[in-house]
Amino acid sequence: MKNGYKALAFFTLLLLASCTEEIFIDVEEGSTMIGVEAYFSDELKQHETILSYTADFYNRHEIRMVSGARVYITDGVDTIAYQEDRENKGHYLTNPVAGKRNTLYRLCIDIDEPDSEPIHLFSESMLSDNVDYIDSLVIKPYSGSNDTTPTVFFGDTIEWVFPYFQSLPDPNIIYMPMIYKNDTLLTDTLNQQMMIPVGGYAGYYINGPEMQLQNKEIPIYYFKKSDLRNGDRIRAGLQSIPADFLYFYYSIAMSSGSNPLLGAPANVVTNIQPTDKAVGWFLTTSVTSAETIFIDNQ
Amino acid sequence: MGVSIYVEQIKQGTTTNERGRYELDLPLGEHTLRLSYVGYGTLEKRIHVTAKPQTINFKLHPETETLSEVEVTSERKDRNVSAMAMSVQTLDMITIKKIPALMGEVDVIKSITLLPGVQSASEGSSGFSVRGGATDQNLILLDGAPIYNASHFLGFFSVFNNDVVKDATLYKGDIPADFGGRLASVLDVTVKDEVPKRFGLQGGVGIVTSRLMMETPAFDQKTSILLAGRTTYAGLVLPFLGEDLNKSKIYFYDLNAKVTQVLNKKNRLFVSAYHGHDEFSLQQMIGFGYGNSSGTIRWNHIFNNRLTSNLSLIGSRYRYGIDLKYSPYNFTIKAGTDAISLNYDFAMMWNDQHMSKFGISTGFQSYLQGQIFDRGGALAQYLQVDSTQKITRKALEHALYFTHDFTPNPRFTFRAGLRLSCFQNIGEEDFYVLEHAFYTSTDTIHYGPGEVFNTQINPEPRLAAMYRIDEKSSIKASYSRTVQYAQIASSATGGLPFDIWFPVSPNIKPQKCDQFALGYFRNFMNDGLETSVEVFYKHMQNVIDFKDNAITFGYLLIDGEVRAGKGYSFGAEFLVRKNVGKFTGWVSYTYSHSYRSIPGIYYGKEYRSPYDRPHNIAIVASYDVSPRITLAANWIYNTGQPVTFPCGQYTINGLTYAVYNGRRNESRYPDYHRLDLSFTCKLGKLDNNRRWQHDINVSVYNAYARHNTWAITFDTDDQGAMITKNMYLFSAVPSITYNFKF
Repeated sequence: MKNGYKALAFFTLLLLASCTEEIFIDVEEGSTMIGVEAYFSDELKQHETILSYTADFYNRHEIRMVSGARVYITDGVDTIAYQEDRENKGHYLTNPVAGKRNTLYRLCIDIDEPDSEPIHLFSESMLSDNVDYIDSLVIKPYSGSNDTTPTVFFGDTIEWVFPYFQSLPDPNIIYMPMIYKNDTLLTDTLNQQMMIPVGGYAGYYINGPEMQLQNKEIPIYYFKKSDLRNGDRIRAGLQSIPADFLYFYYSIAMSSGSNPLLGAPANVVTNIQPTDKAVGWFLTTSVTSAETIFIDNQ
Repeated sequence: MGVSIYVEQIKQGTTTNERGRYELDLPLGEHTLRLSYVGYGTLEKRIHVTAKPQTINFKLHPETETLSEVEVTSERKDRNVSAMAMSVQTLDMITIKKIPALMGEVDVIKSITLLPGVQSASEGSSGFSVRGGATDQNLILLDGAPIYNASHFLGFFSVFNNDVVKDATLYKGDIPADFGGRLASVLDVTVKDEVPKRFGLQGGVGIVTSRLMMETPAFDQKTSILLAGRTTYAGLVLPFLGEDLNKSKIYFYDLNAKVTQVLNKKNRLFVSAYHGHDEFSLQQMIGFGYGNSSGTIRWNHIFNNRLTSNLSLIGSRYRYGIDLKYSPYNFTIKAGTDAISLNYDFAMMWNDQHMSKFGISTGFQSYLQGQIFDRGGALAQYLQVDSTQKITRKALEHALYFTHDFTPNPRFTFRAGLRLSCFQNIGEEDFYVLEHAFYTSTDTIHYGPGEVFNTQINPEPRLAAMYRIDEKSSIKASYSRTVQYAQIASSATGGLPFDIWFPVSPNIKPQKCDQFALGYFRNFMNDGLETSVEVFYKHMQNVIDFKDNAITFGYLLIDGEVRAGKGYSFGAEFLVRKNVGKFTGWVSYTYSHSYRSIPGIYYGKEYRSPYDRPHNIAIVASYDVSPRITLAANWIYNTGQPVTFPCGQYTINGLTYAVYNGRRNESRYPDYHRLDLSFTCKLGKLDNNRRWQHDINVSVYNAYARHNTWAITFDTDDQGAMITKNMYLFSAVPSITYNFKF
């Protein structure tokens, strides 16, 4: 969807033959909110929550972190505390722990502000279900109907990454793939992510013969062919995410400025409460991974 | 409409109504009638009045045919002060064609944005705001048929082919009771309907578009046939922009047809049709298309010298479609609006002092709010709908109206009118009941085919008065209530091709507007210079806006994204206009404000509407240097459009985005101003009797290349700091157009 919007926006701008120039706008400064970037998954590892203050719009200085907060997560039975990283102020880490699928987690954050009332933030998120394993990954030019996903786009030959697995029957599952090449995470920022809602194919064997016959294969990532070498190890982790995170993701994608095509801009949605004090997201996810070796057949 | 008829012998006159009809009570004997109308040569004719009622028809000829031969006196000299109507502007095509145009394509809508109280919604848009109203609060009519999206080429051009348009009248207030359904204005565009003397061709070739119009008489001068087409060849350049654009398309076209049939002295039949389409696609991967079709069949009947009628069957369709083939984002969305109505209008001229208009209309509307074919499944999952979902909402709209003009003496004229409108939602529909505290759907009710489930009846009174101070000045006042039953599901300010119209329902009340206006009109220089000052105040109820982060694109449950509240706007409009002589044009200045207060937006506090642009100046000038050469220029200044700027930034997962404080439209874009120039040279011999006439027009849009803001976008620089970019559509845009007439 985001890519669809991007393509639509790009095409619109191409038509409009518009030009851009840097401009300074007079914006209000001084008001801050708490930024929350919280992550919890079913992988056994240290999970991190990052707390910071929002910055002035034209801020070119270091981001001011929120230090000394009390952060914990609970499923109503167990409570897991986050400890602030001594070397990295504002970064709060759990001990190595794995979350449980199909469990609702509540994140709580208490911040003592020196000149104002203490701030209590909270958020709830369901750690979604996921498949137990991915049968295989295949990297290939798209060989389906030539009126769908292109193999050449603006001069670059594209190699698409296709996972093969039996999907869950739940139509609300959405995947946000994590792609590693030779153990380097390529999708380390949100704008490098692809969102893969598989709702229409819930219960299908994803990318299996039935979908191939219908020309409805679903890739989860693409590489420019020039970026791949024989023997590259490609690992894909399918993160199952809650549906409201998809709305957050699109909300960021659309928050690219003040645009008469998009109407009045507003804060990107958040699941952190209360919403007038915080921005950001508490994401819970379950992860299933697979790996393959890229072999150039041409 | 509005042709001045003056009787020399008794020093009295009248004006024709919108269908060109007039009535005069004259003493028996010889009289000389003088007829004049802006852009047409004055006609004097002697008539002999007998005791028997007579029907006398006249035909005025455009001034271009007689320009070098007679002195053009324009419209009735004192019409500015003597006509009852206020808050009304009429532009004839002769005036419009003199205005410099973007890419040489003369445009009705771009021209009306130069009038006081009217402003373009944004650069390169066919949307316009009238007296602080939203772009969807304008009723745009082509030969009586509503046009739901008047743009071509994303708004660079309007759907109106200038070769076929006779004139365009904009009602900004004091909207006649026979019009309804929109709050802010009515733009009534009429297609030529006079029977030409001979077969003729007319057209033009520009850098982006070309057009051709044919008109011919038939059947012993009792029939006129007009056919016209226009298209663009902008897409031809795509293959040269790169191999990847080989399979891409950009084009639009439109077709107009009109047949006027004089059946006999008392009956005429008009059949008018329009069809237009825009298509854009990129590599067969993404594409969208949209277009309007409309048709009007009107039977004009003269019962007697006092009573005339028009029976009209009107249809209109708007459709758009978006195709995305980018697995799993592989879907097609279609949406649109269909409307059909039957109107029966009457005009009764009782005598010199009393005139009435009344009528009835009934219509059916169908809003295809969304039809989704989601081949990839992603869109349906995002929107939480079925992959092949279709939502159509249907409605009936009826109206009765009556309006009466009373002129007790030459100084006073009064008008009172009432429009009684009725809107009904009808099935078949699965209606989503909203719980208004949270704007979430709590229940679904199924209504069967034709089942009426919501009826809204609203009286819309109209009052107006004019006091003639003296021969050169008058004061006019008006009040009108207007009601709107459908709106666009878009929070965009500029008007988009993929805007969806949706009707009121039990969830959304009709918008209402009460407008008060007062004007002073004064002519100078023997009526050669018209001036006017109008002040207005508008109070709006149930005016809508969209919540933060509203999903308006392709969303089927749009009612829940809407917030409704109150709004008001006020302003003063100043106009100085010169219509005669070699130097013509006008200067207008508007000072106005427009505010809204809507629960759920900006904490319910009052905020500027997107159309609150206090200062609006337009200078439009044309000078006939010689019979061969005309120079024209216009300069526009608008206060910058209100906009919401961020107050901070936040970075999550490596992605920086802007943070807002919830205050809407507190900042502004930079002010907008622009100068356009044009030079027109008639080619060949300057003989108006020659059948072949042609000219060449060279124009520069935005002559001093100001980078007027279209949007402001956010980005991060190499160090990750936030930067803002001014996105502008045009620098200076030169163009050359060759026009011909045969």
